[in-house]
Amino acid sequence: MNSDLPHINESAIDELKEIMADDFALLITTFVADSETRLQEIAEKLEAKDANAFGRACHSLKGSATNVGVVRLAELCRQGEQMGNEVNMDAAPELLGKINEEFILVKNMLNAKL
Amino acid sequence: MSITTNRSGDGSELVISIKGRFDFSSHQEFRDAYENTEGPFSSYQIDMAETTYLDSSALGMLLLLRDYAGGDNAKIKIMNCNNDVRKILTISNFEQLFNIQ
Amino acid sequence: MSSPANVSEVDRGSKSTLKILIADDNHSDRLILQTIVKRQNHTVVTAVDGVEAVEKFTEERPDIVLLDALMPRKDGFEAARDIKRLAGEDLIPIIFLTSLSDAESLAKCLEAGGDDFLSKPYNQIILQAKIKAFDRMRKMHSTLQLQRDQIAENNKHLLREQQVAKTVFDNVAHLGCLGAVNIQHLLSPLSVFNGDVLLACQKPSGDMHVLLGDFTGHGLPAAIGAMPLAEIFYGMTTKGYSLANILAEINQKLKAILPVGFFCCACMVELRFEQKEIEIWIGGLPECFLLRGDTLEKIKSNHLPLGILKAESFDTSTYRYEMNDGDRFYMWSDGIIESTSPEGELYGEKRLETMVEQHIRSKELFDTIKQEVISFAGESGPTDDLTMVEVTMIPEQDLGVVSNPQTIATLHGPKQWEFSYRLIDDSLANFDPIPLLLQIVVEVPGLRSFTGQIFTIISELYSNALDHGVLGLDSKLKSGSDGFGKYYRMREERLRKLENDYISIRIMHTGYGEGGRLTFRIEDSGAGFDFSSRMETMAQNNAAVLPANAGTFSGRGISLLSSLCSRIAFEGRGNIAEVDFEWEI
Repeated sequence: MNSDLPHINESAIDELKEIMADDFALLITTFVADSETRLQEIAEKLEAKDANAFGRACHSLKGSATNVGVVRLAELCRQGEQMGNEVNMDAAPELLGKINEEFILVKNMLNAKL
Repeated sequence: MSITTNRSGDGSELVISIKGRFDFSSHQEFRDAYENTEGPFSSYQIDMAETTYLDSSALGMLLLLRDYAGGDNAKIKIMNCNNDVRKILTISNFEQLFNIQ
Repeated sequence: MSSPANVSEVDRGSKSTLKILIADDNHSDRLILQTIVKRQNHTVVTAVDGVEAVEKFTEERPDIVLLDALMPRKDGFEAARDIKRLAGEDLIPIIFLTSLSDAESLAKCLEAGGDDFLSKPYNQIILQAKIKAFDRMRKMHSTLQLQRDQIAENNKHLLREQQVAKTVFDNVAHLGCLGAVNIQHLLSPLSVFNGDVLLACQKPSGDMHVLLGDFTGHGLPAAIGAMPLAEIFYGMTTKGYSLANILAEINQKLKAILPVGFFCCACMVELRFEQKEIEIWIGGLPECFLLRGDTLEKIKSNHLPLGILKAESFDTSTYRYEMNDGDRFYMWSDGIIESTSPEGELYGEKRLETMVEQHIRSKELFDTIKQEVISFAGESGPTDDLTMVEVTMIPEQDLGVVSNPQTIATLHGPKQWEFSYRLIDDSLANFDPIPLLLQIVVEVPGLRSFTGQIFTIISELYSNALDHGVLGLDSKLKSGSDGFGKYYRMREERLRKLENDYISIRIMHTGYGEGGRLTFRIEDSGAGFDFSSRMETMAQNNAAVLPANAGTFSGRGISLLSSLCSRIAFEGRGNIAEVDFEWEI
């Protein structure tokens, strides 16, 4: 089902560009920097086996990813949030791998839009 | 409380019927009842068959009607009062001013 | 608007640019929101967590708060609670920013004081719509607050005004003797605004007038007539006018000043301590109770209220009853019988009558009635238009000195004068000359403090001349079982048939030093009496111990006169009396 979603919702990006105007680049830079911090946090919580904190960090990344229109990353984070909430972390390492992959992909795509 | 008006058979008398409590809240409605008709009529009848209570401001309103209808020459009949209403009219000796039946 | 905070709130309410606080720990989300809000021409204040959000709220006092639910240090729920508390009475809408979607989380937002949600991804149209809607709500709220505060302020103002009006009224009303030992009364402190008025005052003779009035309506319209009523009542009572004169004057005044439809139900009594009589006029008030021994007599209203009839139709006829010491008279406004129980039942006349009959001998009857009515009405009962008064007949000397208004002695007035005044036929029946005569006499400097004695002398001489002289009534008639009523019936009859009758009054004053001598000479058209034997008796005995019923001249009258006057003489066929009153300050 992940593959059903586009990496980026193009119309959302267009709207953001219009809203942010000159600040669009700042937004992208901020999003990327923020997300890198957040990804690091997610990895640490997984390492510490803190399911709740893992879920919360995923929730947070999900929010900003949604706003920036990177919908597939948001969906992956939603799954992470659910795992954390259900304290069912078996598939979490694999999911984290997918999230990292997806992030690198969309980071490049977003940078290309600047 | 509600007030309705009718003309008598030959049209010379205005009949004002008062339903429920006749008190200060009826002030405007009662005034409208006799002022907004093509009066003054030669006589008036207040039908209190369905009047449950009156207070002193209602007595005041009756005096206003009396004034409007010609003061000492006014012809006003008050009809069908129940005992409570009758008593209030009697205490104030309104039979000196109105024809109470 | 009383506080400055509220004023600024109203100012803000009228402008289109709002100050909006955005609290979100996520930089990119905050950046987007901030940009959208700024583009809509609002001012933005930002915070990165709950603690900062509360701080910024206190410093900046924003109009609307956008709050992320999950934040470090203090989450959105807790921050929302703090902000709502700090906002106090002001409406500060809080919109939760959330990607939370489960019902439980949303309920948590509402519980914490959230007013709405905004979900991610942010949509500028939706956000704009929400801000506009909440701005309208905010303005409505501040208008309501403003109006509420204005109403509260107006109400406070009204109460202050009422307080002032009441003080003025009390200054007039408290001239009287409501505090006399024979009066008990129940009257709400602000009763004048319920339209209830209670006045009591002594005449120069020591007799007492008590008036209970109940004006139509409530509030200022009800209070407005009380002032002239009290003025007339006190002014005329202290000058010695009769019940009938005072009521006629009050009626005429109220008729002239009150709009049609406004009037005053009233009961007024004159209590005559010497004669042991009560005279009662009642128009429009519930039945009064006269308690004589074990007997309760109900006295029905037989007149229209005051202020309705024109002077020429106004009826001043009164009831008269004998009252022994200890007999009591009760009057009340309709607040007593219309007192309503929590179940909506009226207290009613029957219950009142039964209660009074049960306790007819009780000294505490007044308090018993009061307690009974108050407990009947229950806790919710409106007790502020319960007005009632008990007046007891007592020996005159037990009354003590009741303070009446003392007019400052006239400084300049005539000292040497003489005048005569003659009343003929109908005038005798219709006019009471005593207050008029008294007014002239007390113009003498220093004589005003003798008003009481002079009033007694004039009224004794005049009533002897009228009742025993002109009307030929024998005071012996009054004794005997139904004599009292018979006496007054005969008096009324004879007053209607006067022909070629008169009373002449001549008064002279000679001043000397700090005092003077007043001479009263009164002549009537009556048959007179054989005074030679009386004069002998008087010469032999101390006049004050003359036996009662001394001939046609009222015994009580002559003994009173001889205690006040230095000389009493009769002339003609006994139809002329002349007395001297010597005074000195």
